[in-house]
Amino acid sequence: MTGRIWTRTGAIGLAVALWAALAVGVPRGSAQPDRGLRIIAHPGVGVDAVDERFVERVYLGKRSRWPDGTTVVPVMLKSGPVQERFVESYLDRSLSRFVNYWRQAVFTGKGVPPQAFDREAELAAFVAATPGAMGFWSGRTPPSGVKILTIE
Amino acid sequence: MTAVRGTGGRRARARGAAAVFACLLAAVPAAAQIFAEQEVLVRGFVSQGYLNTANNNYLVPRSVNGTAEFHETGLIVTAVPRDRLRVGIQLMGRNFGDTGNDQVVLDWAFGDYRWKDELGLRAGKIKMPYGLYNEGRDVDLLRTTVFLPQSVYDERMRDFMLAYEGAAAYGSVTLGGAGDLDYHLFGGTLNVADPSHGFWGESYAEAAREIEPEIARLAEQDLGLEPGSAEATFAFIRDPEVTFPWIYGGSVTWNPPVPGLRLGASAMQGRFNYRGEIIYDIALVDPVAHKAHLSSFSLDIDQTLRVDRIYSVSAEYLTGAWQFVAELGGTKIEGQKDAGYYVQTGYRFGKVVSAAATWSQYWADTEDREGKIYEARGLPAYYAWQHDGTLSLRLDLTSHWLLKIEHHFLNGTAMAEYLGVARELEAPSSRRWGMLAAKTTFHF
Repeated sequence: MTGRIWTRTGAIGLAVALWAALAVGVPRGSAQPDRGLRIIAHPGVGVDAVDERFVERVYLGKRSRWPDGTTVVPVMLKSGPVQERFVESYLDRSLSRFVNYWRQAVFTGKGVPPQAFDREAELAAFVAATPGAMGFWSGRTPPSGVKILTIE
Repeated sequence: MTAVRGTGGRRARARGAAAVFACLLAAVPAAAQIFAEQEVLVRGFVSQGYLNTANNNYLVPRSVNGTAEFHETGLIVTAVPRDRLRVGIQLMGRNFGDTGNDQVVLDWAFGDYRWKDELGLRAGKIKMPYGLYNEGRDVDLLRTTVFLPQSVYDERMRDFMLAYEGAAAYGSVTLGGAGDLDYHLFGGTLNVADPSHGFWGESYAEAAREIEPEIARLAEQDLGLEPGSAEATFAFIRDPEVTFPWIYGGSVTWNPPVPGLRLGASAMQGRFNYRGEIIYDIALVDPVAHKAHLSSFSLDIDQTLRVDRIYSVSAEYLTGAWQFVAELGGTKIEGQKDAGYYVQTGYRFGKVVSAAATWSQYWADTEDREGKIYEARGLPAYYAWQHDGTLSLRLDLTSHWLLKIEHHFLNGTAMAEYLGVARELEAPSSRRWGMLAAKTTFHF
């Protein structure tokens, strides 16, 4: 009886240990956050700075309010290198993994993904016109009608 | 409940569903992504698979001959009519062996009021929170493998693990420097859509066949026959019903401040009733001597079983192109405990190719992992367990079309045994066997 338990425990333990060793041994693929992107918001938003975790939680649908309690409306691009850079640097995951995260949420009824645009200019115009909106901008000159948020 | 469906009707429905989806797919721009511009989101998928087992039948009757009766079609509509409020619905048609038969059913449909990030309320038909992947088990495009690991996501139990009708509280709580915690607590009822087929149909048949000798004796008394002169044979079950008058439970997922890592646990408890009328054919053992008198005999059943617990514990770590998952799960129903676990490693080679390797172990009775009880009954010990090593390959051929193929290297038949017992198919006869599964999915 004792031997059987040890055999079973040993087999499961070995499998988990191998799995964990492999997991820990794999080098991290993600790069350092790329600060070439700026986080922009509607000028009426009552905060000037947010932390990176706040941005991540908003774009994963886990945070729906600004710190002052008003609704946050996140927007993004449909695809392209700027979108990819934003997802990798602020959300700490690959674009394909981010797309899969939202697929899972949509196909199980758990959420609606951020609205997306083809071009940054459209995104910035939406942010400027929509109370509570948040987005990102890759250009050096900030678009007019939005506020730049500081990342803490 | 037990409507007999002609093959022609089934084919017509399948053609109709395919036509609807062809139109929808044609209407979707080639570059469309999961992210949309509109506030009403419409998404869908259609999958077609093929399944073939070597030596033993599994999941569907006569799988050793291979079957293409393995497809799903889903259409999702979600809308946000006002701030904090969201409504959604998924219609689904499915055919898997003799279950589903392409009947369109409500897979989930609920209203969601998100009062705060920490507390939202849902009401309607809601996906069951079990393990990390149960809520997406019908959506092929969400994973690399064709089947979720059966040791934790038992396909035979799909009907009562899929969705409940009731209410839920959910939310995401920030834990400061310790990450955040997502939770989903629920209570409600559950009705198995078609218990005349699949696992439930087989369970009814198995129970019915076990008492055939007793039914024969009762029939003899009824008909005034001599003892031992009649035999009873299970014919069919009329109006079967499997319902959970109540079920409750919940899940928690901890996202620690380690990118890509999440740890989860879920548990639930309830009761279920199964009812129906079992019909037996009664025949005389020696029809010539007794001037053959054929009859039928019916037996009403109405039984309640206690689900003491269904539980899971999970870990997932995503890093770069790698995915590592380990989950264990089990049930305790009327004191009988089963359990299983799996570990899985996946890797994505660029944008097209993904692969996964899975090792999975399952025991039908945790008190008899080595099959001693089966051996004492003269049956093979390997009926007690089912271990499965699986290699899976996924190709995302376009942004709307994917193809998968996987092979299972199996040892033991704990999950295959019921088909042989109840179906009068050849009982599982090989300890070592295999399963090939392939599937293609269009989605938008």
